Amino acid sequence: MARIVVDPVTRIEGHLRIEAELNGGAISDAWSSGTMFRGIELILRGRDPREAWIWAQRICGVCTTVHALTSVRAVEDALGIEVPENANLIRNIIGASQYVQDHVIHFYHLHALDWVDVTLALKADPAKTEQLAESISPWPKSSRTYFKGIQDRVKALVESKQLSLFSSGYWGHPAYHLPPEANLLAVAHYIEALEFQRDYIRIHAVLGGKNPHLQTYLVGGMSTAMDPNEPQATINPERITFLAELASKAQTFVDQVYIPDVLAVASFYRDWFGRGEGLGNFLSYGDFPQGSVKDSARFYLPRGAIFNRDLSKVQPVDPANVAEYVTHSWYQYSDGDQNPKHPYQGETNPKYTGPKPPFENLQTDQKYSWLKAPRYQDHPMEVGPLSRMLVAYASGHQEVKDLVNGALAKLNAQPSALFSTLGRIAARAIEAQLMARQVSKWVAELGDKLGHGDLRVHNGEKWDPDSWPKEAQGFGFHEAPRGALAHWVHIEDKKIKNYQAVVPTTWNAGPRDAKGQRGAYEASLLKTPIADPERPLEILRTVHSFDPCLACAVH
Amino acid sequence: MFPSNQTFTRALQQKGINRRRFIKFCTAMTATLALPPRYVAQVAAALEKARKPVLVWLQFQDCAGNSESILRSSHPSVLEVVLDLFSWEYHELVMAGAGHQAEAALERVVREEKGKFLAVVEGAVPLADDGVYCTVGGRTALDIARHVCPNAAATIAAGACAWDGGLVRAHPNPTGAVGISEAVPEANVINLGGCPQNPANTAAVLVHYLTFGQLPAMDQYHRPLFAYGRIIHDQCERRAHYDAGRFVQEWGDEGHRKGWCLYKMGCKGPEATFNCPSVRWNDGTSWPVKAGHGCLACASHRFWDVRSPFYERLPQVPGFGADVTAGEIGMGVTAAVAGATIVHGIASAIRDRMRTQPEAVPPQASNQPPKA
Amino acid sequence: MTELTKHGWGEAHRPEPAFPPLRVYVWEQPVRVSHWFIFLAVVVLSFTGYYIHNPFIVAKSSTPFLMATIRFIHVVTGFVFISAFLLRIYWFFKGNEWSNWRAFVPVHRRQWRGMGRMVAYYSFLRKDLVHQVGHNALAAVTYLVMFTLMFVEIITGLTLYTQVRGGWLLAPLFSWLPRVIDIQYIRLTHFCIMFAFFAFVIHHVYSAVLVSWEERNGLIESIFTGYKFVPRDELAEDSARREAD
Ligand code: HEM
Ligand code: HEM
Ligand code: NFV
Ligand code: SF4
Ligand code: SF4
Ligand code: F3S
Ligand SMILES: [Mg+2]
Repeated sequence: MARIVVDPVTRIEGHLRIEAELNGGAISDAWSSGTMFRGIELILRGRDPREAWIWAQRICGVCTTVHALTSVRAVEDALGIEVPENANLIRNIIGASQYVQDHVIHFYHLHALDWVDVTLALKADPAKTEQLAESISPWPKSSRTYFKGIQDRVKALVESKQLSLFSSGYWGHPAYHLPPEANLLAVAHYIEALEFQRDYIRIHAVLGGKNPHLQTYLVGGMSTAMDPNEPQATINPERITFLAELASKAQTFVDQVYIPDVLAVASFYRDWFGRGEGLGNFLSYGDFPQGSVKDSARFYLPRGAIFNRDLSKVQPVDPANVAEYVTHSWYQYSDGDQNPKHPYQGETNPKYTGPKPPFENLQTDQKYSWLKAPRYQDHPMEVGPLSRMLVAYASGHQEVKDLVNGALAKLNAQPSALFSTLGRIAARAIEAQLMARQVSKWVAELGDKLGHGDLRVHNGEKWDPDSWPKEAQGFGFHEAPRGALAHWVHIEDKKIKNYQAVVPTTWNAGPRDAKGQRGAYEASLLKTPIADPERPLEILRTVHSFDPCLACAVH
Repeated sequence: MFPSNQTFTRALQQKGINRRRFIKFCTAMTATLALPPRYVAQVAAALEKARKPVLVWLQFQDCAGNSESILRSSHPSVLEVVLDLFSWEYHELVMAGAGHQAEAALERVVREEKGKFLAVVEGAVPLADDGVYCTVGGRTALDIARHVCPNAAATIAAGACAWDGGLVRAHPNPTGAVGISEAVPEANVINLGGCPQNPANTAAVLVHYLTFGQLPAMDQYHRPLFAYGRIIHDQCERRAHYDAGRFVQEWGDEGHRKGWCLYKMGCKGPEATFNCPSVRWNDGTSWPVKAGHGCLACASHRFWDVRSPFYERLPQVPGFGADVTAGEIGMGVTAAVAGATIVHGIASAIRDRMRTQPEAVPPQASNQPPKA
Repeated sequence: MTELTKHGWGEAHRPEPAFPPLRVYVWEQPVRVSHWFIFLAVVVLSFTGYYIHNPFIVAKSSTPFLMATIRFIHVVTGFVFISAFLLRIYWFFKGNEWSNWRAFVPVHRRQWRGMGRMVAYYSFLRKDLVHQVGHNALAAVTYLVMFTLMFVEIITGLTLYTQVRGGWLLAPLFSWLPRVIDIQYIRLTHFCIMFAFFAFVIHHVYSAVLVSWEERNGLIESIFTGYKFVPRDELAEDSARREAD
């Protein structure tokens, strides 16, 4: 038995450490630890709930915007505020475009290098790359001269011996088995995706003033004033046209680059349909209200839970059943660390008991992470695009069914193949495709509203804190790119009394609970074969398939 | 992406970027740096000569917002920065290597590039409880910062957290977080305030460094003057409305739709220095005030505590509740004094009355000439 | 004790003097001039300052320069205020015994005793006023506090001015301050002191009326004319006290 430590796990957001026991060439046990804590829940206390979103948004700059939305929803829930239709629509556009943005960056810049050996691109024949590209997609940038240019750049880089970001990769690892041409294609798209994400996110700049950390939310709506006749209004016909243009470009990019690339890569790594499954429990709060945020039946992505891979039954979800353990986390609960706490009663009392740094290993039998361990009805759950797509699929969401079935057919795989490392990657890509379309639809809808003179973006009835009750509690949720996110706020005397965030990556990367049940990462790593313990590429593959965000997870 | 012995122009040409675009890029950089146009040639010459200096990007108590921000850089693009202008050897968010290999990459830079490489720091450094609130590879952030930053030619603190502790350091600062220059006083630091910093400015600082081999002129907070020398309010496109007294009164009202001034909605533009109104964000697309929300003064020192509450003009008066404004306290004090005065006036009148009860005092004894 | 039969209730309670009081030139011209310029400036500065803080009048689309004008008036009046303040400071050193700085700084036991007596008077623990030619000890200290607040208001005002206007002279003089105390706290101080003025004026005018009435010495008129009407014995006491110090 040998222990492998991967710290830092890179190409993720934040500070994640994986420790794993190796037994006969495969992982027999694994521990996931978040090694950074800021205490944002504590910093929020005593502040004006109307600005909580500004603070909470800084939980993460990668999935920026999502904590802002969740926070305003929590405060709106506490104060009983319904936001105008337009505000909801704008929030949907921001949220959905965040999916597309985040998923594209994740696949190309955070995950692709687990599957693509950049150095192998040198061996590719540009002409064959052209053939490959044209066989999978109508994307116009596919000439052999184009690929030759890319290859020359890689060559120059390698010859310079200054490999920059690529200097320390696991190049030449036996688990890489894409043909050279696919590697070259992927490198080209790595570069294109960098440009794509930069251009596309201007949707957020228009609607949020800037990205990362958008600055136009309000408790009660949005500060993006709308007017069809005012050139200075944040949303006017000219801006709608601009948004629509960006949205349509994104659809093309996802349809013609992202999706074909994912399918191509997956087809070369079919063994990964059988690895990295994890818990088999999936949770989605559902999101993208079409009308009231209370009307979960009309969410574009449905709410529900799936247990034990059983796609025939989608269970209803009640946020009252969420609770967090700190048995293996560096916190203390006032009444002992054995029982979980619902976030309304949540406590954040940091108490580090780990080894004194610098250290070699964590005490994984005791407390070993800054993440709490959230549970739903005492079950560990996986959250994220895969959960959302499975819940939608199992709930009979027609568009999701068509896309998922289409992809499965192309890969010649069964739905059960989705319970895997590759399943997560595929679900994420499918979701990006779905949401890229929605962005276009919602932008058009917003343009319609503008045209019909519906200009309300904010409900100011409860803006004045004097109109609030002495005490109020609220729950805000959002399906963030990485999964089910919720904030719970307790307001007393116009100030935040308690604030608790239970975040997607807290669900997935959290440690064990009092019963010893593993979190999703820990469970998904079990049985993974490791070819070279010095270069545990396989660990990265599965962990990356969740798109970890540790700043989110710990906050 | 070019060998280090090749010139920048040739590399750009190899990428299909012609001289004209290169000069355009240099002109844009010169403008961002607030240098007179005659410097374009010097910027161009410096970039043409440039070999790739090594850069490492450290993340501590951060949210990666500054990393994401640099991914959105357009002039130069992140690709140009990461691959062509620098050799970007360490950056957890995007680097290929992980674990031991990543740590080794950083070690190599500190060892072999001592005094020559640039370090960028993102996020605060926790000092409380021996730094256990942030470890990477089992070492504390403080340990790593002390190891890397003093050995760098310069350290760029990217964003509020790295500058002054940012949000992490806001009250009650649960982890004892500080900015990098407080954590490692011996480092040569330039602070790029902002939450996050604006990639246009970061790129400009990097190009300045490439061009002149040193950091640009800085203010008392070690922020580059070209970006932090002017008040937002003085550059704001809504300023004419401010001067005219045209203010947004309620979110979404007529004034809001017409782009009036956000002063009454808590805009901190009057107490914020930054160049948002001129460089804007995301390729010059917009900036918060343009999009309809007040500025938070996110590039000001300790802005989280001293510029909040963000929907009020002034900070909270220490010792009062979160929802009590200075105006309310002032009015309260004034009213209390007025009330007390009225009560006192009535009481005085009563005293008067009591003192003048004719029977109360014997009717002579007074009216003596003064003793002196 | 008062000759009660001579006047009904509600009149002053000072003994009707046998000899007519002396007309004493207490407040010299610079004191009166600075007093009223300060007063007028404070009125204008408070109104315009409050508007700057909270622009309660919102212009129509076509109204030009409302805020800019208000700010201009505030700053110009600010300099009037500063001039009046400086004049009064000058007179701290040049003026007569009642306007001299020594009359304000409580360094003598009798001043503290006097303050105690005035506090007792205001809180109804003492029946009679402490008679004074110049300021009573409590008033003097209050004025000293107000002069200090005026000074702080001027410093913070000029610091804000360097932020909004800059300038070759003031910027180097005042730009150091925001590095020590954040500009927002400077604003907050500047704003809060305004209310100290409000509170002061209320009490100040009230006590002037009260004392004037109780003493029947023409106190209110004195700040216009400069003259008070003082009984001989008090005048003698006043100079004797000062000599004893
Ligand atoms: C009794 C005296 C004064 C009062 C009551 C007063 C009151 C005020 C108030 C209430 C504000 C608004 C603060 C805020 O909420 O932002 C203000 C701002 C200001 N005051 Fe005064 N002030 C006084 C004297 C002065 C003086 C002597 C100056 C010196 C020139 C001055 C210069 C300023 C400036 C420059 C501002 C900032 C204006 C801006 O934000 O554009 N003030 N004052
Ligand atoms: C902002 C408004 C005012 C301020 C700051 C102020 C301040 C002062 C100060 C500092 C003195 C002491 C004189 C000196 O030695 O310079 C004084 C005296 C006096 N003020 Fe005012 N004053 C104000 C308004 C008024 C008003 C409205 C009245 C009208 C009744 C008034 C009546 C007097 C009188 C009667 C004295 C002489 C009182 C004494 O002997 O103690 N003041 N004032
Ligand atoms: N986990 C997580 Fe997030 C997301 N998506 C959010 O709530 O990444 Ni920073
Ligand atoms: S300064 Fe802002 S954007 Fe940068 S790491 Fe800190 S919270 Fe994130
Ligand atoms: S919107 Fe803000 S920065 Fe712009 S003029 Fe108004 S107060 Fe100044
Ligand atoms: S909040 Fe920051 S981004 Fe600019 S507009 Fe204000 S300085
Ligand atoms: Mg939490």
